[in-house]
Amino acid sequence: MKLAWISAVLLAPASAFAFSDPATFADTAINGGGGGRYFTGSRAEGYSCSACHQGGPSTHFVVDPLPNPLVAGTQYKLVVHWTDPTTPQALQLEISTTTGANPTVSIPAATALPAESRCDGSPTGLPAVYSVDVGTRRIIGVEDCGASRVEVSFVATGDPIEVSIGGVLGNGDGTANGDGVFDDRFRWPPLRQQSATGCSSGGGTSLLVPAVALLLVSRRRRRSGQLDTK
Amino acid sequence: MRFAGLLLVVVTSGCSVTPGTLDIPNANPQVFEDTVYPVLLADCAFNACHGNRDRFFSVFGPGRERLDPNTAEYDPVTPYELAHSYTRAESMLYDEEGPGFSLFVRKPIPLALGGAGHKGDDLYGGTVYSSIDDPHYLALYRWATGGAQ
Repeated sequence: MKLAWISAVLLAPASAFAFSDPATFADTAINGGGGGRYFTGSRAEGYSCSACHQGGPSTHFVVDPLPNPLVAGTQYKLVVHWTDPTTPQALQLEISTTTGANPTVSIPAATALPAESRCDGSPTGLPAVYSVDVGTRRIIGVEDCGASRVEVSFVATGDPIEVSIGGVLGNGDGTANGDGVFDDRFRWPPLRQQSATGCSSGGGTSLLVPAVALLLVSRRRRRSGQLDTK
Repeated sequence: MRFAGLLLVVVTSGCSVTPGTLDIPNANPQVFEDTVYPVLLADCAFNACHGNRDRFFSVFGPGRERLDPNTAEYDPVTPYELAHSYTRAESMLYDEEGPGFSLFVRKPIPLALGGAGHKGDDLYGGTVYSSIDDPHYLALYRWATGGAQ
C-alpha cells in the first residue's frame, strides 16, 4: 500500500475534464459533480466558470441594456446573446440584489422559447435554456448545444440588481483546459465596476462599459429625434 | 517512515528549525476519505486552483483533473487519487505548534479568524470559508486535529 501511495505522489496528472451535463452541477462532488456549485460568479457563489475552465480565447456575450432606473414591482427582461451560434457555448446566469434578496426570476416556457434559445438554433430544437433553484437562488443555464440567446424576466425589488454571468466556449477536447471563458458581473443601475481577483479571475471582457455606452447612445438618439434602432 | 519524510521536508526546505520534537499529525485516512476528500473536491479541486498539478497541495478525482489520464471523467476516485490527495493534505498538517495551527487549517479562513493568507480569493475577495463554523471547514478542522477520529 505504501508503494502505491508513493507511486501516486510521483504520477503526474495529464488531463482534466469539464462538466458536460447541467445536472452535474447539482450532483455531489464525490460523484464528480459541482456539489451544488453553479459557478455563476454571484456573491452567493463566489466562484465562476474560470475556476476550472481556462487557457482558451476570450468569448464574448452581449447584454442588452436595461432601463435606468428600475421601478420596484415592474417586470423587466434581461437578454443575453452571442454572435457566433455555430460555436456551442454554455452559460450560467444569476440575478440577485445588493441586499442579498433575490428578485423573482423566470424564463419563458419551453414551448415559447425562440429558435435562438434552442439547440442548433432550430425552431424544433430541444430547449437549451433551463433554470435550477438552489435555496432562494434561481440559476439560469444554457447548454452548449448551439443556442445563441437567453431571455430572463425579473421583477425589480427596488434595490439595485447584480447580474452575474459565466460562460464557456469549449474547445471540444473534453477537458477544462484550453476553453474560452466569459466572466462578468455588473450592478444595475451601475455604481462602479467590479474586478475579479484570485484564482477565479476570468479572461472575459467586462460588459459594463459597453452596456452603459449603449444606453447613452440610445438616449442620445432619442433626444435628437432619431429612431431608436436598438 | 513519517519521521524520514519529515526530515526530508526540513532538509530540503533549508529552514533553520531548532532540533526538538514535532507533533506528527495522526490524520486518519478513513476519516479523510469519508469526510475530508469530498469537501476538498467540492471547495478546492478546481482546475485553476488546487486541481492543478502545478500546485503542491493538489486534489484529483471525479469530474476534476484525473491523476491518470486514462481514467474516465466520472469514474469513481481511484486509490491513487485518494492517496495523492491524502498525502498532500497530510503534508500540510505539519506545524511546530501542532496541526491546529497548520497551513491546512489556517489557509482557507480569513486572516481575521487566524488565517494564514490564501492567494486564491473568490471573486469578491473572500477566502474559501468566511466562517470557522462552516460545516465544510469543520470537517477539515476536525480531521486535522483528530476530533473526528
